[in-house]
Amino acid sequence: MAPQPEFSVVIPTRNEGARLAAAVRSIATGRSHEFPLEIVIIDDASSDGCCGDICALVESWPGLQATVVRLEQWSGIPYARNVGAKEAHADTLIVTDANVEFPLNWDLAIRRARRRNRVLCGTIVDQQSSFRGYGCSLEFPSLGVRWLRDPLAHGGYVPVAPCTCTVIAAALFARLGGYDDRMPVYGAAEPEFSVRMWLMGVDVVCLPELLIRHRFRPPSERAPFLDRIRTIQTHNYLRFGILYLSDRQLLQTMQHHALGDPDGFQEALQTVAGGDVWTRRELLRRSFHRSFGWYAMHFGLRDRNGRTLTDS
Amino acid sequence: MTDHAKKIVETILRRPDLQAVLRRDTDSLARAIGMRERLREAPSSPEGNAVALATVLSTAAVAGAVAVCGLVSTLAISARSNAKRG
Repeated sequence: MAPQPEFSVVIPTRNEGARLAAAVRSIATGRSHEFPLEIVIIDDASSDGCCGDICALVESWPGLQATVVRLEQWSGIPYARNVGAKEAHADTLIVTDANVEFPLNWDLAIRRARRRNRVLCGTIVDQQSSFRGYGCSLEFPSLGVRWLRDPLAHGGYVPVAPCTCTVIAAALFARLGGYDDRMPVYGAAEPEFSVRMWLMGVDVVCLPELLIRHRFRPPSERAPFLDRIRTIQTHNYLRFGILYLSDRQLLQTMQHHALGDPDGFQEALQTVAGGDVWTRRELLRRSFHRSFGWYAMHFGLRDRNGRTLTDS
Repeated sequence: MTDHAKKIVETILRRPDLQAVLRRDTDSLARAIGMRERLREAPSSPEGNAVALATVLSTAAVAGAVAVCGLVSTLAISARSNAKRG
């Protein structure tokens, strides 16, 4: 019987080719010593066979165990991450991507910084440039995110943990309910999860010394992808806005997305409003320890006119 | 407690022409929001609030239809898929 893993690394993947194996290799060989480690790969209906031999590869290293779950249809990153978390056996989850390289001794920084009710995130380094992102800030009214270039922008605290490397206790992940998988495919789930963490009393902290090299999609890949899923993103950001914002703030967010996706706005809003968003909104508000106004004040969110966002 | 956000969303959905207001400028939005805040102070039925809001938005509106196009099929597929799993 395999020993209890110390960490479970959750990797959703879709058509990442050889990059997945490279990510797994860096995680396996970057350990400070051969402690038990589980790698949970969620194959989001890949068609390139990237997960074919991955179990054999993972288990070729001492102490490593692999779980591969294949989703039969493209379900998106939030859902895939939640599936991975449910399959995981360790007390600590490391949520990451398939297009990363972990550094040597990556576990040491995590061990040093782990605390109850604290989520950690790695510093994301571009494989092709000198770019470093120390977590993200939340943008208003889009509700998108922007990389933080200064590790001390908020005294080491991070408004939004990038999913390229988020370290969270499995029990906390379960208590929070995981990512909102009613936000299909891509967009908004990452900041929504972080805002939910903060409002539920969890702190999110960046580890400047944990450098995760990441392959950012080149514009030639990214632009057509985002264009293809534009209305899905509109749907997700509207859901995010309805869940958290005051009436005044919500109008600004709706305006932003009505302008950005005029053709898809009506149906995106219809889809959001026809789902569970109002029930969830009430449920969330009852369970929050902090308000969105607190979050906005804490991280200096401002509206288009430069006014600080509040709860009104 | 009245959920104003739900009323705003429902009103905008029911009246696609209001999306033109939504897209216009912050002045139009401010007028709508200002009216909503006055309504909040006045005791009235939820339905009354929604209708009044729509009226104010409509007054501020520039006439124009909003094209309603289909949501990309992936969204529907994914939403159904998630709903089944959920």
